[in-house]
Order: sequence, then C-alpha cells, then structure tokens
Amino acid sequence: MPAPPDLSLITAPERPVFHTATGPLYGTQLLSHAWALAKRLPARPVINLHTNPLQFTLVFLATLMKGQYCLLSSNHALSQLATLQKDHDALCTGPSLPAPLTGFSLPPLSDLTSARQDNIRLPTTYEAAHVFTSGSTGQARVHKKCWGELVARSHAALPLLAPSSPKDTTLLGTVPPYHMYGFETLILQSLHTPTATASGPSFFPGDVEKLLGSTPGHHTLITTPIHLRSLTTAQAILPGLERIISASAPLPRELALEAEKRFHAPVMEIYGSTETGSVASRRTISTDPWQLYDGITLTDIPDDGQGQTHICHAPHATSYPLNDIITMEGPRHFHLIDRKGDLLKIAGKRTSYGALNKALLQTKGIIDGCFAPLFSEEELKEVGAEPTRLQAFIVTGADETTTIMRALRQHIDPAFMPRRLVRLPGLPRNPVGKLTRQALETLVRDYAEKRSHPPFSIPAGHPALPGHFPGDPTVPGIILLERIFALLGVPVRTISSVKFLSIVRPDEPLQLLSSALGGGQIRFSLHHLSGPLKGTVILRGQIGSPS
Amino acid sequence: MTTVPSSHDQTALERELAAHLTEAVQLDMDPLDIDPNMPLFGEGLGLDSIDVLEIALMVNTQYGIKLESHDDNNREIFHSLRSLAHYISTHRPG
Repeated sequence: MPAPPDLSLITAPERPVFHTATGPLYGTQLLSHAWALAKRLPARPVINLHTNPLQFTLVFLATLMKGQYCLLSSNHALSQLATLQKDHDALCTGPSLPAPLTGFSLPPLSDLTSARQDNIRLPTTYEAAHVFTSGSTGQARVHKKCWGELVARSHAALPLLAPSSPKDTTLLGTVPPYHMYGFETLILQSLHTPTATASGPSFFPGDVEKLLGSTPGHHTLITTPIHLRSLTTAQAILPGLERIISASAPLPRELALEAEKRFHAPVMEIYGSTETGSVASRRTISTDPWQLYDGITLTDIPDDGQGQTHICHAPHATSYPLNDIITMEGPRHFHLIDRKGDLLKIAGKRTSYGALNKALLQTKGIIDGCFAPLFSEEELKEVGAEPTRLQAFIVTGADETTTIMRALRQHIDPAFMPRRLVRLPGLPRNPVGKLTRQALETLVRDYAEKRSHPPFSIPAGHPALPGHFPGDPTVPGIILLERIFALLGVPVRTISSVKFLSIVRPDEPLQLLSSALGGGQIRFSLHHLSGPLKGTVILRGQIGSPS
Repeated sequence: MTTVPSSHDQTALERELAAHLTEAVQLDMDPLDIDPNMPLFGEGLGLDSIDVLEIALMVNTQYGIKLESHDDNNREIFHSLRSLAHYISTHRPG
C-alpha cells in the first residue's frame, strides 16, 4: 500500500486554501486562526454544524489540534443531536443551534489571532471524524474516518475535481460540509491538495452566481440533483465553469444534458456512500461504466439471496459492502444494476423506510401505518423516479392528525416528514401481514398528487353566454363546473364543496389541477393560465362521497 | 361570483402567494387555511431547506425577485407567509 504523500493538517500551507468575496485566506493564516480557536476550546469532541466551508474548517482544525474529533451528522433532528451530545460529551457549534444543545459560538476571524502557525502531522490511524448515518433500525450508526484514509482519498479524487490545473482550481459547492460528500470535496480536498475552496453563501442560485463572480480560478461546481435543477430552472449565469460534479442521489440524464448545454461544462457524477466515501465517477450523459478512483478495489462475495454483494476496499479504510447491485466490467469499472433494500435518500440525507415506519408505529394514536413516496402523476410516469416528498398512510382512531405530526417531528428529520397523512380504514397487508411492494405501489398510484389537465377556455360563442352580464361578459360558474367534471372523467355523485375566488372571462386560458384523495374523492382547483392573474386560483372544490 | 373571505384574513397578495406556495412545495393543504403568521418551517408548516429553494424559484418566476443569502435576513423573509409577502411587495421590480 503506497504511503499517503503528506499527513500534515494543511499540505503546503503557503497558498490560498479559501477564496472569499474579500480575498484569499492562506493556509498559514488558517493555521494561526485555528490555533487561536483551539486555545479557547475545551478538550471535547465537537458536533460541527457549520455550513460555511471556512467556518467549518476552522472548527475542524481546532478540534484536531486539541487531539479531539468532529461529529458529523446530516440528521439534524433534535433527538439525534441531543443523543450524540450526551453519548460523546460533545460540544455543538453552528448557525442557529436549537436551544437545548450546549453550544459555543464561533468568534469573528479578527478576534482569532495567534503567533502559532505550526502545521502538525497526524498519524494515519488518527480518528479525525465520526460520521453518522441512520441505520435501518433508525439508530444512528457511526463510521469513523481516519486521517490516512481521508488524505489518500483527497488525492484519489483530485483528477476528477481539478482536471487541468489543481493550483488554479476553485471548488464551489452547494453541499453542506457536515455531509460526507461536502466534507470530502469542499473541506478535505483543499486542505490536502493544491486546490482552493470558495467560501460564502451558496444556497440560492443568486448566491452561486455571486460567489463564482467574486472568486478567482477555474471553478468546479460541487452540487446535487436538486440544486442543479434549481440552477438550470433559474437560468443561472455561471461563466467559465470547468466541471460540474453531482452526487447524493441519481442524476436524471435529461437534467445533466440541460446543465451541460447551459453551463458549457461536463457533468460528472460521483458514486459513494457515507460508509465508503466517494469511490467512483462517470459522466452522466455517457453510456460509460463507473470508473473506480485510483487505489479503490472491489471484491465480490457469493450471492446472499438479494444478489451479489461487493465489498469496497480503500487505503487505510474499513472495508464496507456496497448497498447496490453492480456488475463488474474489468477490474476498474462497473455498471450499477439496482439498489438493495429500502434505503431512502432525500436532499442528500439518508434513512430507510424501515426506520421511518418504526418511528411512525411508535407514535401514540397510530394503529397501523407506513411511509410511502408522494408522487405527482408526472413523476409516476418516470421509470425509477426517486421521491423528493413523502406521505404516510395511517390507520388511527384519533380525529386529530396535527398531534401525530407534532409527535413525528420530534423523531424525524424535516426532509423525511410526511407532506400529508392519509387516513385509511386499514392497510392492504397480505395474509401474513406483509405490505407487499406491489400493494404499496398501487396505493401510491391511487393517491397520486396533482394531476395537470390540458388547458382549455370557454369560447365567447358558448351558447350559455349571450344574455349573461351584458357588456361585461363573465363565464357562469356552472359552465366551469360542467367542464371540470368532464375533464376529471369520473361520474360525480356528490359535490362536497366549491369555492369561487376569481372571475373568468370568455376565451381566457384556464388550467385544472386535481388530486385524488382515495375513496373516490377528488380535490381540484382551477387556475388562470395567463395575464396578470397567472397561476391564481379561480375556484377550488372537492367531489365524491366520503367512504 | 363572490370572493369568500379567508378565515385567516389573508391579504390579496398573501392569498395569491399561498396558492403559489402550496403548488411549489406540494403541500397538501388549502392555501386559504394557511395562517399568514404561522411559521413556514419547523413547528408550523414543517417545511425544510429544500423547500426554501423551491419557494425561491417560485418567487423568481412569479415575481421576478432573485433571492440571495447575503444579508442573513432569510430567516425573517421566510418566517411566515406574511413576511414573505411583505418582502415581495417591497422588492417587486417596477
């Protein structure tokens, strides 16, 4: 096994490690600020929740200087953070900390001065970070990351992140650094290699434009499918991007194509997990297989009934089985075939349906229930669509669902909170009590959200119009309802409610949205499609007979 | 046809914004039922950070306002339907 090149905190610190809107921050300055911070910190592990790369790095370095480690958790549910704090006797730091946590606030850089700038070297086996994932049981599982592993991986990822000239490359990310993907690409990469990271707000498309414009170098954008879609939809202007990197969830090919066209840079995807870190990459629009990073190898073990399992090996790292089913193409490439188990990823955060269902079933008032993706009809047409929103089907005797939601919020990260609770008389479980995948898929289809119907208008020549509102032609509500019921395509037995909120003129383009509520009930809304009222609701209502 | 007053006294802009908002974040709720002062995140409507992105996109498309996080006032802007509507009414181009 080749020894990693340099085990010091910052490789060659006489260079910019960060670029901010106000200028570069050199490695030597960073060391001095970190030593000053270390002096103020008690010798305890730190839950680092900072989103700004520079602030995150300061805390990370100071923690290492104290001989401690950082705890990184993507799950920010209060119960998870409180448990981590208690189990590790840890401090907590970050913007907007929930009150019950023991935190410390980071002083401004100008208050952190020290004559000390020494660049200590850590042993390869030093546990620098404890990274947490939600296991299938719902219990947080720890993955300890050793310094040697982290340094070696930064070097293995360098050709992907800085393809032309590492010392002129600025990494700019929309990913939080407490997430393994962000930690590797925006923090460790610029500590260990000649690259620098742009530090500043980068959440909104406007932020990314600004940060790109105010920092030098060839930029590599480190992002996720959700942020990339937001950037393309907002038609962000990102000149001179060298590369776009996406990870955390599968990137749709069409989105990659659109991003490449708009931003004139190849879109590369990273394959990895919290356990293994980043291990392979490929260009999304190509048909090429995934290519392993240098130094990473995969071995297979016999079929466990769910398909072949591959074990991932990396220098100085614990070996982990992959969560996916793959086929190898030669020793350095593979194709992704399918995902194993019931892992669920939303916004880069991970849990499993098992863990969510366990939390749901432990909630007071719940007799039976399960989580499921909340898909629109459009999403249902996509093969293998990944959910971005969840719902929960519940069986409950209680009338009030807000108490159930409040109880769930204590145990479930906001990203996985159900958008709605759908009350059912019972779940379609099979005779042995199992809710089959097929039964669940049927349920999800029946409760699909928001269907858009083709636009329509009521012509001025409609036979019902002459004589109505002379000089001020207005479409009578009953004409709209008649048309809506025809579009919904179901026999209407009862109208539970209809509210009229806006006036419709003849020939005005209109659009109907509907959403099935189960039991034959449909909720619908009619919207203006153009003009100053575009998008505004004209009427909303509900039909069907409650079962 | 008459306009039904909302139970929460939404202003015209808030009513329109509530409809866009429920669309943008796929919230299964009648927009008229959104209390303009209810927090959008956490204990209120329970939205998350990705929803902020969706809402920002909607604000950009519908109202031509580009949001940035530079002055750290996003917590205030996104606090409630009312605060978001106030921000839009004071930052609308033209």
